[in-house]
Amino acid sequence: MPKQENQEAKEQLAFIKSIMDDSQKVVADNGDGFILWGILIILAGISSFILDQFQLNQFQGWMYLGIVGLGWLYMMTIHRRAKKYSIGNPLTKKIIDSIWTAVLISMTLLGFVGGVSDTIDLDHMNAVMYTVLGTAYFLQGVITGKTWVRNLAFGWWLGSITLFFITGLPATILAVIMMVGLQIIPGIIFNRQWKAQFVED
Amino acid sequence: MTDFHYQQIDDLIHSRIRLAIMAALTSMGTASFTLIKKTVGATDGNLSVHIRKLEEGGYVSVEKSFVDRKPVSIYSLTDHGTSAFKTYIKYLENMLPS
Repeated sequence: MPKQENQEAKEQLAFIKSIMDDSQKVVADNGDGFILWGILIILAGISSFILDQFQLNQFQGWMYLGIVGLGWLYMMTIHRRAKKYSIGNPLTKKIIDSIWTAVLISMTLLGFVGGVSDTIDLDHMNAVMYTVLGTAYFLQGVITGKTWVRNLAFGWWLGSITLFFITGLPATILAVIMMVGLQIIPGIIFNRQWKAQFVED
Repeated sequence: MTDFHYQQIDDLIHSRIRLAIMAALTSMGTASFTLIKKTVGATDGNLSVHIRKLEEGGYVSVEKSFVDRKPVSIYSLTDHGTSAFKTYIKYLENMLPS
């Protein structure tokens, strides 16, 4: 009898472990941050290009400040409130949130400090930004076990290598294509996956 | 040998499906009905019955809200549920030979 009980206890513990392991990587975010930042960065890129064409570069800093400020304002207000619907393992969520916060702060610093100090020229700013962005996608993909998200990082890195060598209109077009394909579309996919976690059939 | 009695095990948790719900909620913190259903592989009806039993036992709490104007139920373990789950695990561990 005790042997049978031991066996049953062992099976129950193994069952609990398997359920908990499966649930560990589950994280569903509504993707709003991805979509919003994607749109804002495209807007910033196009505005920057237009300002450059009209030789109004003295307004570049203000334009970036306004757009990035808008993004942060959104993150601190609406996105924060939407977090109550962000479901999944708390530790996994915390790690992913920390990665994105760190990456957004790094990008803001690189953009402003790098730009104002003239250590990163505006023509290659996207290349620097996208290299950093790739890191966040890679880590998120690995942590959540989503290979397609991890693979997006290679898209960011390959694109940023190209962006280090080109400037002007071709660079702006490539940057926009990357932002749509590697950020906004994945954001829409995240949103659909997130909604699917709630739809009760 | 411990003075453990198998009959002391918490019946509310001991059912396979309720145990799966408890384990999933312990790992995920909060989860929607759909997510729990996918994780434990239960049907809507079956899950509803068992999750209600856990709710009635005070092990699980539910928060009803709306996403895209559709009602959603978000479940989480209560403190009572968390401690009952820990106790259950301890019982199982005690049954294993040291």
